[in-house]
Amino acid sequence: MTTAILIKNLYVNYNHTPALAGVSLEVAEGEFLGIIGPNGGGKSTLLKAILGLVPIASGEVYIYEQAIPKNRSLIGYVPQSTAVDRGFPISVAEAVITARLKCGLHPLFKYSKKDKNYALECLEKVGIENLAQRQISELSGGEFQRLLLARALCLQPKILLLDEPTASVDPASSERIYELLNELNQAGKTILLVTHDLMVVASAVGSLACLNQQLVYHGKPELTEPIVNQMYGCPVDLIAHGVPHRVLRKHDGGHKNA
Amino acid sequence: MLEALLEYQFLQNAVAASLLASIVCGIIGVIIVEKKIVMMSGGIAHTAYGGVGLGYLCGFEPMLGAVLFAVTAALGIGFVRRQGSVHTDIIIALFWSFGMALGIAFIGFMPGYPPDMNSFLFGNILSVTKAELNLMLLMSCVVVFIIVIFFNYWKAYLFDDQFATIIGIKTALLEYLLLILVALTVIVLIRLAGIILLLALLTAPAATAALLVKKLKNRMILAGMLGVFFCLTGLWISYEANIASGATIIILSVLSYACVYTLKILKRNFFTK
Repeated sequence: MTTAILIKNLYVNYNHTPALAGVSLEVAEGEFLGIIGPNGGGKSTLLKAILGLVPIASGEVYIYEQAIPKNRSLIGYVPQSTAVDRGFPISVAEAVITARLKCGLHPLFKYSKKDKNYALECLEKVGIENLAQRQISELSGGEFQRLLLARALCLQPKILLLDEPTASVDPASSERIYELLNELNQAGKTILLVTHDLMVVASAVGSLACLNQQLVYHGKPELTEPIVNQMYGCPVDLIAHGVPHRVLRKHDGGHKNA
Repeated sequence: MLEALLEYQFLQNAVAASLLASIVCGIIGVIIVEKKIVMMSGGIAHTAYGGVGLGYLCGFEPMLGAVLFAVTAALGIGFVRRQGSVHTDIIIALFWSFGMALGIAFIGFMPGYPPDMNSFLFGNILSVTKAELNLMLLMSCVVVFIIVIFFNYWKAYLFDDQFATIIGIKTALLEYLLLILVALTVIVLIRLAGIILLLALLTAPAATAALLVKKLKNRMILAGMLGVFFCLTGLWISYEANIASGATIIILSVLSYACVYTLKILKRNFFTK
């Protein structure tokens, strides 16, 4: 089994407050891992640390056995949609094709026919090829999220990192996005996504990890009450209303959960 | 005014300066509006006043001093911003006032009768000299050249700089380059609208274009054309009515933006009802 992402005892601080304190995690090639945790639990920070965007206080991060940011080109990053300026005057096709830019700075760089075709292919993969000429400001939340995913795919990555891919998306689109991610995972992509949406994610991913500064669990997508309580630092009532999949395992004498 | 234009060199210079200013305003204006660094541009512009003062004090061309100070301010603000430990608006405010204060102090140190600084503060397009026009031409060419040859990179950087960084684009270099281009643009505009007034000339055409067209390139072109219209019409009104050219151009630009904005709001309300 090949290890896609290896994190050893990672510490990241923001102005002397720890965001991540001793996180160790191994993500196997082909794994579909969902990381959940409370807001401020360091989920986005973990992704940024993997990408080499935040300074690491101590610990190591490896992408396919190379210390970051060396193998960064193997990663397709899908940021939180709120982190991107949705009012910027750029069309869907133009936004996706930016992934084909040559690294560095090349004077008079022009996208080739191949680049353009590939960008269109990626839009087809996420099902918004009909919107290629639209301005991004005219997209719905779900369409915009799929655009960001298409842009990441346009990098031809081995690993996909997604930050809250369904945060500003309606339930139907959210389901469609998870279907899409499952297809991509089946096609061989390693996927790591972070979200605070426990109910949906547990039913969609292959494995689950819980993060609140530290990793408190990594394993099957099945949450027990002690794990959730440890993750949030206090007892939490989880009521899975209207979710067809079981998130919480039934426990003896319990009646408040699913 | 047309006969006068053929006859007088100073009017020809004024028209040429207006055209140059409009081109850089169109390009850089759209960028700073989209990147939300209008106030940073204001900081860079006001710091340039210190350079004007230094030029007068040490006896070299004040506009060269302005270039020096504006570029230094651009690099300084950019550097502190990248460190991320201080709020950008604090740095902008400090550069802004410090530059102005230095300018006043330098002029104060000058022996004898102080020079007229009003044309630097409020612009006086009718007094543009041939040397200044050449400097403006050089600055405009640099700005246009750098934006055009890296256009696709600029687009990616302006849209999502974090993603651009991840895919290996030299975004730090682009950021500094952009601030330097803003500094050069400010220099082009100083003679036209002055340090204090130029911010509206930089933003009004771009903001008006943003209300009217959607594509980045089209916005730049339309903003440039609006700039030409504002500058030449303003110049004509100021010539006929004998009022300050800089102020006339700015009033015209801002009122035009207000008109387009109001029409757009009315149109939207009309269509939704």
